[in-house]
Amino acid sequence: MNDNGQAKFINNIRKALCVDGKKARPDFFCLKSDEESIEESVLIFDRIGNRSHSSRLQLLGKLIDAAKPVNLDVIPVKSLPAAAQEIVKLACEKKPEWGDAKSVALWKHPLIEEMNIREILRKHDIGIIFSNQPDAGKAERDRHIKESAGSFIGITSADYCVAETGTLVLKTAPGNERIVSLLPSIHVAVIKLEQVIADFKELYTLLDKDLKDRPEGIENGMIFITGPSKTADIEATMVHGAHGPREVYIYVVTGD
Amino acid sequence: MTRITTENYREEAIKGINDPVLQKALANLQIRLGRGAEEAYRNLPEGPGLRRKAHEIRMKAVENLDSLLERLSEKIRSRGGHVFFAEDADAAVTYCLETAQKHNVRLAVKGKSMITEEIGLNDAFAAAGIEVAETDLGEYIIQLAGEHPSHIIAPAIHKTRSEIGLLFSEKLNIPYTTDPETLTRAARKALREKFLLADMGISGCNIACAETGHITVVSNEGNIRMSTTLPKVHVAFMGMERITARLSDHDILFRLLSRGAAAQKMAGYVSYIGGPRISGQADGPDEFHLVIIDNGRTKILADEEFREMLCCIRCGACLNMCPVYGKIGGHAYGYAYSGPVGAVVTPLLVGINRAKDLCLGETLCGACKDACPVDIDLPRMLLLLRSKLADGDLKWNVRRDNTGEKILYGIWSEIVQRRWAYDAMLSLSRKGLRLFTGKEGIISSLPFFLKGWTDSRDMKPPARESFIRQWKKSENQRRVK
Amino acid sequence: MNSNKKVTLFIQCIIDGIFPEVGVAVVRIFEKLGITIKCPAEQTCCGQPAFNSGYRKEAKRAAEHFINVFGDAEAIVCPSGSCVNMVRNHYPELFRDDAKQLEKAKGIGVRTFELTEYLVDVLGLEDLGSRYDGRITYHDSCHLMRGIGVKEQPRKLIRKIRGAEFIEMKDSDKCCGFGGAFSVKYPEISTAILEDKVKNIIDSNAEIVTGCDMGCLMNIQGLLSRRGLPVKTLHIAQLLAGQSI
Repeated sequence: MNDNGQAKFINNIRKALCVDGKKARPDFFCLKSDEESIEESVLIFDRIGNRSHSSRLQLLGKLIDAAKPVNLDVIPVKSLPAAAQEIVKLACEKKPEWGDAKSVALWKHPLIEEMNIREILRKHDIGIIFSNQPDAGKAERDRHIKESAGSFIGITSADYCVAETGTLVLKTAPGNERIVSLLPSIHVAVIKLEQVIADFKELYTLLDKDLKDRPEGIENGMIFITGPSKTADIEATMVHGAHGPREVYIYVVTGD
Repeated sequence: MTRITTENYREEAIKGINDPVLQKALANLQIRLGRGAEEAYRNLPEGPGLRRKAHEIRMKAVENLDSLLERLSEKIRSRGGHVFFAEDADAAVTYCLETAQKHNVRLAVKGKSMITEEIGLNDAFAAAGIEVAETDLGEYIIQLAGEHPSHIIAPAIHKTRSEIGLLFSEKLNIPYTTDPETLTRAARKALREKFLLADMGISGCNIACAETGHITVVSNEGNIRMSTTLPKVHVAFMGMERITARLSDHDILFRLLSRGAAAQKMAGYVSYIGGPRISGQADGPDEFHLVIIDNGRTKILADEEFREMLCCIRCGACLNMCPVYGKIGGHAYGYAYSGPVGAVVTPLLVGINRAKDLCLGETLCGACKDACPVDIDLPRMLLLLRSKLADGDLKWNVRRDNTGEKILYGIWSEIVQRRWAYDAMLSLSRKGLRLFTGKEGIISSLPFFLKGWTDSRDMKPPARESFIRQWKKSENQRRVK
Repeated sequence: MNSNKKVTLFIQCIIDGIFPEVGVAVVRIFEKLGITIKCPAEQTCCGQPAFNSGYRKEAKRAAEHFINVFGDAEAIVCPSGSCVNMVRNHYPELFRDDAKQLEKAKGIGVRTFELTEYLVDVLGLEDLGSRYDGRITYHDSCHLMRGIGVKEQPRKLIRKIRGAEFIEMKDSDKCCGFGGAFSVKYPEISTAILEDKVKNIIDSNAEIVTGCDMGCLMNIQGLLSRRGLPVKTLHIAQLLAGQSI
């Protein structure tokens, strides 16, 4: 069977490492984590799980601070309908980047469904794009991508949001396309306060657990997004909006 | 063909030093990114010591590369992805070209990837009549200009906004402007069309994860996301050492990579990709290929003294603190990798004799080691490379670089063991240099191999009496007393 | 006061041959402190020039001689950070295949100190009663700072010099471009780096630039002299010994 050069390649590595290919090597991935890191994980889970509402609001404050230097807008809202109102206001204010027609790409996601935003947008003559037939074949997918490329706002949710850096974590899943946070000129994310976590240590501790409980979530890929797209390649001058979205808004539903 | 011009180090270095635009750009870069990263490490909750931990994570991966690569390829194949193991540049390029030809690729879009520079991918595609569009703004600029990158993270650092304005007005047919935002918008529009039309996307890989079976790609612009999501075929190239064992390793590695590369707490985009699109997903490539490349890395792996070099994650932090790079710029290093990383890796990959100026032409100040997010001891390896040039080396196929110098140091090594001989040498050089000493007791011109000093600097001549002689005299006087 | 301490002086080849006045200043410092100084007359070179150019066998000969000459000295003090870096951090590398010599090399590394390191960390002194009137700036030499970890000690000493105004220059911790043989083998690059250092010195408005390594100071002085710039170069020992310009 053609292994695409694997056996010889790996053998060369084993020779270089002076490792005997026949002897079993320790399997990293079945190794139980050491006591210390298990303890640490437990502490972190407890901390996240038992976080009080006021502590979460404090984290939100940290998120808002972290967002400023990366040109990210974080807006706390009381409820999902309130988020919907803010988003529609944004959609009415902002001008489309490509052409004159306004259209919004959406994820299929419970939070977004609950917001009931499609109807409101339609009332304002703003087109809605979401993928109906993802498995209908290449031609349909190409059409969908081209349509999404003309949208000026993309609305997603997220799995987590890291307060220390302003980073959104989006797991790839059916209905939760990557292009919705990539092609539109503006990316809008709607999340709940509980989804805001402190730092990357907490994030990776949660991801490790997700890997055990719901591996497909991570298996299919993830994106971390920290603010709008940017570049400083021309004389070290920062410009926002290189190839990805030029503006990013995170609406955090606090329930207050 | 891979471009190697390491023999032009001196000549290119002098060009760089005499280029005022480059000098200003490099000075600013080193303040913004170099000093910026220093501060960013200091502000880490764990402090700069975290780099040692990152080093251990990388070394562990390197020492278990066989298992990790097996795991990675198993997982990618289980998702319908293809994994090809390329022993050298030709194998990697051929595989990618054949894949492109199989899919009738006319246009490929490419994210910034040093390894594709290393293997000469663009030239091979051009020869086969396939357009490869660089999509990182800096790479796009220099591709339009027909040049080579001069920095790992900021490839067009040597170009002014007016040069770029002229270039864009000519190639993109837009009115001449020097406003970075307008220029960026023009590139955004031009490249957006290419992203949507491209048949193939090409990327590198920052740090793959064996546990989950993903590669990762990192950018601030979003061009790599575009290149790896829209076209129907995605080919990713990965140096075989660019992998870590567990997902949780990424916490430390990405936080340090972002700080080292661009003084950021976190890069704009990090994508985990493990195969082609899943069913039910409206976007993503139909085919995913990972090309894992050796091209001389196994040899580095086999040498325990150089193995550490495989910990490198190609962030460019060392360039941002190097006083030599800060003056000569990236082109002098004559290969894909410039700065301190280039000074070690290039000789190991292309030949130590061939790239000797890269490891000899450094001050060994050690700033690179402090700047490295994974704490690689680059100065130690530079010294090691120098010892191979001094004495030759069978394993690395190095011939002795300078027999005359070897003989001189041989004589010197005998002299330093005998103070009387050392005193004689001091006396001789004192007398000899008197001929070159001017009226004010200054030497403004030295002969032979010392000329380089006095081309720009004065020199104080050896003292009439060495310190040890003065000491001996005063000791004798003390005894007499 | 410190009469029970004995210091053995390793003077460094550059100071020995070209700047003996610096050695004289070092001796004066210890005399003022009432510490007995020994200075083995058989000493020559620590081996660094050969080592840095890749000639390890030859460097090893120099190192063996050093170990023989300085043998069991209680404390070896050297007014050169790069030499101490060589002895402490590279001698073990040179002798790693010879267990007995390796033992000696490690032992001697622990007992070898750079001058300001010895004064501040071992003797616990900052004020030596020195006097110098004028504006002084300080250059951090690379091996001293990164190899030995000495950064604050010279500053503590300078700040206690009566009459002296200490000014930090921009990028004091950036290389001066000396790099040993590099300065003559790649002179254009060396000079380009040096130009930045000299500019920072001039911009600091100091009258004197000081440091703990004559290699660096010789390099800096070379350009200052060629350009006819009024800043003087003095080794820190000369300031501490109360030597006037």
